[in-house]
Formats: sequence, structure tokens, C-alpha cells
Amino acid sequence: MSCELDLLFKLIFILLKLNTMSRKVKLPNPRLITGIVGRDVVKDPYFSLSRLYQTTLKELETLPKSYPYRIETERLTKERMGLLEKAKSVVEFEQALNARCIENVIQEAKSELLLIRKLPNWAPWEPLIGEAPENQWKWPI
Amino acid sequence: MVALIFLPLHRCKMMSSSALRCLARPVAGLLTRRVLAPTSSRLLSDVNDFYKSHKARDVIIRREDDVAECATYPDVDRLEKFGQYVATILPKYVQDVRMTSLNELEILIHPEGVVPVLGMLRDHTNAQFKGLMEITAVDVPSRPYRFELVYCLLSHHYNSRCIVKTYTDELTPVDSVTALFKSADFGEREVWDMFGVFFSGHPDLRRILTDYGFDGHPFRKDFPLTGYTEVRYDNELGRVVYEPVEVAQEFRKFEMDTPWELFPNYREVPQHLLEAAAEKAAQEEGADEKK
Repeated sequence: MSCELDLLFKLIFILLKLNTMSRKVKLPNPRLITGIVGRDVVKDPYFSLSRLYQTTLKELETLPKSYPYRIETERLTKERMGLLEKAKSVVEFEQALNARCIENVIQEAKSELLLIRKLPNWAPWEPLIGEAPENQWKWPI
Repeated sequence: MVALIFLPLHRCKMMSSSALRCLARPVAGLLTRRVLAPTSSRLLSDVNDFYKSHKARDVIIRREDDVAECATYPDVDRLEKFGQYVATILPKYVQDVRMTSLNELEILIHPEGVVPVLGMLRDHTNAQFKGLMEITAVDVPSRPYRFELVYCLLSHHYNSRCIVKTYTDELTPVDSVTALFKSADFGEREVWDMFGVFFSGHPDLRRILTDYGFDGHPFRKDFPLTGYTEVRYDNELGRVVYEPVEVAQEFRKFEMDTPWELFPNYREVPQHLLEAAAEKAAQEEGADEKK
């Protein structure tokens, strides 16, 4: 039984590898290292970024339409998506965003996406939950 | 490191406080300047109107490609706009946003919003405050919520800093932000040790600076100068012993108040004095005209 499972996993692994090999990398990453500790080189940044941006735009739809954060983030994501589509190389995209490396941009997109998933629980678009007591923020007293 | 008070000392010029001067001079502005309009209710509709009136790129703290702007660090104008932006995206928690006299951005929030506000500031692409530099508190016993909690954030990406402030008292726990920032672990332990503010959800909330068996929270204003216990080596027992403090002489209460006025620029003149001064001035004018 375990032998069969093993075989199955091997087969899936080979298929996945064939899939990535056959996929055409649109913007190949010219870098060998990012120069930042703990940040690994992403081999197919176009694929990761475009997928992240699409997911972000999709998940933003769970927030209220008039919420400024949603408006701003949609604008930002679409702008970056446009730059990514237009760019002819990774370096060109980085220069357009003035980013140090494309891996940083991917990281930004990731944390933005994680933030959007937390927002429905917090519901920060609601009105203020409570004013501060009088003279709480007064200084000097 | 723990106590941090924002006092621009260079601004406090010593001045003799004659009553005449006190009345003649107009009352100066506060140490801080409000960034939000005082009437803004910060509801969604208002927020949207505000948002439309600003250019989209203005909400980013500092654009990296603007080399000229690096010379004017911190970029006050942009920081102020960023403060307004934070108030529009977090209307539920942000009570007020202001700039200090030293041009630091202060975001004043409701205590329930510590995790959402710091989470938003950390993860939003326009903010990226990835570093929590320190957590501290200020004790003002005369306020209903006597402790003011201060979170100092740093954004390496935009070369920018901001301060998030909230409030609590001895009994009300505040949500821990250790899940967001690892440095909050020690910061919150320091505040717990020095001020006795309880952080709920902290993985290991115990004293960090004071000795084992220490009594009280030393940075509270009502903590006695001598402390509650003292330590000495006992020859007979052969070890260090803790005992309640015994002061040979009764603690003398000195008059600590300075005879000088410390904040002449921030003086608040009582209303009745202002009215009296206005009346007097009007009478004098009338007398001059008669002459």
C-alpha cells in the first residue's frame, strides 16, 4: 500500500516538474541572490506577482465599496499590475517602482493580501467606537 | 529608555510672569497641532469626500524617487497627509491625529484598536511600519485613564517614523501586539514591570527589569522614592535578606515646585480674567477719547 502511495507521489512530483518546465517564464529573474538575508530569489516573479495581484483584487471585493482602503489598494494593485504587464524585464519593473528587488515587491503584495483577509474581522470602516475622556490627550496638563 | 516624555525644552523660555503680561499676550497654540479637522465626524461619507480631495499619490509617506525631499527630513507635509489617510482608513479606532512641535506624527487611538491599527500600519503597502522600536507609557494620575501607552514605529521602506498612542488604567487590560511584532515581547514586559499595565494575550508576561520579589511598579507617580523593601546581607543567616524599608528620619516633604513659570507659551488664562482685561481696555480707550 505504502509502496503504491510512494509511486503515486513520485508521479505527481514528476508531472508538476514537467508542468513548471513546460511553462514559459515571461520575465526571467536575472538575479542569483537578492542581497537581503532570508529573502530568496523567486525564479518566476511574473507568475507569483500576477497571481498575488489577482487574488488581492478578488479578496478586496469582500470589503465595503466606499471604504477608502479598498479604493486605494485597488488603485495601487491595478497600477502595479499595469506596470508588470508593460515591463519587458524584471529590472525595468523594479526601476518603474523604484524597488530594490522584485522579491521585496512580492513580499509587499503578500502582506497586503494577509491584511485584507484580517480586515472583515476588525471591520475598521465602522464609525468610531468611543471618544477619549475629556483632557485625555491634553498636554501640558 | 522606558520613560519618554515629549517636551520641547528649547521652546520653554523662562519669563517673569507678571499679571499684566499674562493678560496682554494672546494665548499661544498647544504643544501639538491637530491634523484632523475638529468637526470631522470621520464617518464613511465624510471620509470619502476628504479622500477625493487629495491626490492619490499624496497618501504615501515619502516617495523614494524624490531625492530632493530627502534633504527635508522629516517631510512634514507628506507625513501630515499620511496621518489624515490613516484616519480615513481606520475611522473605527482613530480618535485624533496630530503633529508634535518636533514634527512627529502622533496617531491617537481607542485602546480596543491597538492590534488593528498596528496591523494595518505594518502590512499596508503605503505604510510598511515593519519595526516596533519601543513601547512605553506615561503616568498621569489625575486622568480617568492614568496611563498613556506609546508605541514608536519605524518604516525603513519610507524612512519614516510615527507614534501610536492609546490609554488605559491599572485594571483594564490592553491587547498584546506580540503576534505582530516580536520586539513587543520585551517592550510589554517593561511596561508591565514599570507601570503595572496588563497586556492580555502576552505569552510570558513577567517582570524584566526589577529584582525577584520586587514590590510595586517603580515608574508610577505614587511609588515612594525609597521603594517598599530594602536589601542587606545578614551575617548570622549568611544570605541576603529583604526587609521593609526603615528610614532613620521621617521623610521630609520639600517644596519641589519651581518659582518660575515653566510653560508661558501654553498658559491658559481663566475666562473671567480675560473678560475683565477686555473691559478695562475698553474703559481706558473711552478715557483716551474723552481727553
